[in-house]
Amino acid sequence: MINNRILYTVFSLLLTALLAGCSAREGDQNFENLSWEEISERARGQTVNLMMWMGDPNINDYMQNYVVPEVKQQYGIDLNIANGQGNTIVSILMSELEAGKQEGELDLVWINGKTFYQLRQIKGLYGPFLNKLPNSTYIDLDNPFIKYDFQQPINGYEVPWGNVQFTMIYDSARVPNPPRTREALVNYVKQHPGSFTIANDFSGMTFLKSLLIGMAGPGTLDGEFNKEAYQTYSSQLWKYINRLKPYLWKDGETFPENVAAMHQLFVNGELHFTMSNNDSEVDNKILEGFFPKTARAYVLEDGTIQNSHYLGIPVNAPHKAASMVVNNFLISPAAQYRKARPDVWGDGTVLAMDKLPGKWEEQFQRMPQRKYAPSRDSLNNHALQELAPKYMIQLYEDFRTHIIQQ
Amino acid sequence: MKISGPTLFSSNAQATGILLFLLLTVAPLLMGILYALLYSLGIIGLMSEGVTLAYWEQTLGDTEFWLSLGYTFYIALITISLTVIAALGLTLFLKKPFQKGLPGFSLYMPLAFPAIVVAFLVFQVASQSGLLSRIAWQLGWISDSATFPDLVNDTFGIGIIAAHTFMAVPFFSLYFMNLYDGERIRGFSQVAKSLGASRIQQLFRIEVPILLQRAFPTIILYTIFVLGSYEIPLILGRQSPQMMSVLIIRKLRKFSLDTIPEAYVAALLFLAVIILLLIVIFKTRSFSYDLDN
Repeated sequence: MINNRILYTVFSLLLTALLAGCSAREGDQNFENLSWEEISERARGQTVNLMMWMGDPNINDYMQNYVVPEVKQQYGIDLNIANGQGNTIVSILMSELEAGKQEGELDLVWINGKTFYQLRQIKGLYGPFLNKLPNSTYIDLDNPFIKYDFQQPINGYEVPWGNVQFTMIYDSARVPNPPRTREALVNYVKQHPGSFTIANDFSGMTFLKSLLIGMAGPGTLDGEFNKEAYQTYSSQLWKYINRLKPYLWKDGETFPENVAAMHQLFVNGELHFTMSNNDSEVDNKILEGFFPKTARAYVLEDGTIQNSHYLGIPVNAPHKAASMVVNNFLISPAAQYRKARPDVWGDGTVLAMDKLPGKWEEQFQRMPQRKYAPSRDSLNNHALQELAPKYMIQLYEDFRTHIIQQ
Repeated sequence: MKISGPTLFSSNAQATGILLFLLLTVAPLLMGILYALLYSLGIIGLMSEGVTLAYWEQTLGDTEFWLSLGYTFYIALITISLTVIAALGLTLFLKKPFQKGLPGFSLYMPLAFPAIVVAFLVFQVASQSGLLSRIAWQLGWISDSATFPDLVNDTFGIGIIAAHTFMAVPFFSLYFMNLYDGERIRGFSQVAKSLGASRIQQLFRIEVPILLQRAFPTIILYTIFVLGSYEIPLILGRQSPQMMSVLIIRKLRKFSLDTIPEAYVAALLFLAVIILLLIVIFKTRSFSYDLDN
């Protein structure tokens, strides 16, 4: 019967496709014994596919109009940039690895914390390679905010790229004295119901983490995920949030999906506060004309999370040599200086000033300062270390069960 | 559709055509389902720790999942009911003006909007700081924006339903109008009238039943489309309960890799519920556009 034959054909094709997905992966190219000159030589003429978050025009401008032409001119490398955040990167790599694809789509990815943790979980990162990069000698690896990514030693599997700190943003025209402690925040929100909320995304979770550390005391939650400690302090945290909840935006019955939605509500005037993982964002957004000129960034007295973001090379990247050369360029003093300027991107540098050649040290010292956020030095006094990734995963789930669904 | 017996294919060309169709549409679908099934049982997946029913147990016992499922059907049924009522009204009472000129053109306009744009429009118009709220404030109806009623990200999914209805009403109105003309419903109605039917009887015994019966498969397919919608509930919905697609994507793509198998379980269950319903619905009715059935 012909329809049986059709069924049979379809089924065998199905099986073939599934089996093809299970073939074993081969070992990676080895760069151990190559000198930097040899690596650079190999890199010439290659194309690097970089996947990164492209949600900010300043960042895109820096990448497209500075980095792309520079690496082309200096090293003969074509840099393609594709849009995609942590979860996209993880799922691309997961499906590539699950399918046994030896040459993936991506050569370079912009990651931190949770994504780093997940990529290490699925053995998706190539390395260690940081020491291979000549410019890595300038990196401030003594700084715990750079050396550890969410409590995990980077161990040469990622290249530190920039450093930022979480800030609260308020409109000084409407809020002359922003609340600086947890209790002051409760009082403020009670007096101005509906003016505050928490984004149900990475930034919102960073805010919750800052509160959690504030309750536990700095250092208490360092190291690997500690279930008991988490239970103790998170129940305090949910008690605190539940005190705020009736006075939050929409009576705390729902929360903005992400921080972009929160910015929109802040600009509309529905909210008095928004938040950002990047301490320079307020300056950028004012320059863009999106935030009012009266917007200001600040941090709570108990401090907020400071973290770094990194670049990694997928284990199945087809052009690892070129990817390393691009990495090395991105941590060069010139590229880092430009990136740190408030009128370019305003991203904190990962280089140690005392390790830089004198001329660059001076240039960094003379850099124009930002206007609407506290200086980096004063933020440093209120900087908290990131917690192990499991804390955020747990907070995200518990925020849903203890707050959103209540 | 049923393939029974070799007589179905009159030629090799026809058989090849059907084979190609199966390969391009049915096979990928089946592979996807099989993949999801294997993943949900821990048989494949980078993070899998061996065969387990844990993800199925977890999801089946999860109130959030069942709430979301109920909420999804609630949104779809309300949307489709409102849409059909509105489109019937337009077809039966305003067909003439809507078939030409500016009203006719305006009926086509919403069809050109992608779902995500409609979602943003509804947000801009109906949020507490949106256009309606501002007008109400200017007119002195509300004292500040927070007292404006919750129309988006609200408990009852008003925003989601509004956006879907906005997209569906023109589609169904045009469809009903074409059916009305194509099926010569006016003729039947006139016959009934000459036999003594009142206007009410004409409407509810002849016109509405014929339109609904003819449109039945399309109404069901559109309901499935609303059940599976993503952008609109993502932008206009709440964090809880979420419509199924939003819930599934969250489990698939958010912070924890451990919930990926649960996402596949949720997707499979959602699919199973829809297929079961379709079987029940079409078992009791003939899947045909032919009036005689």
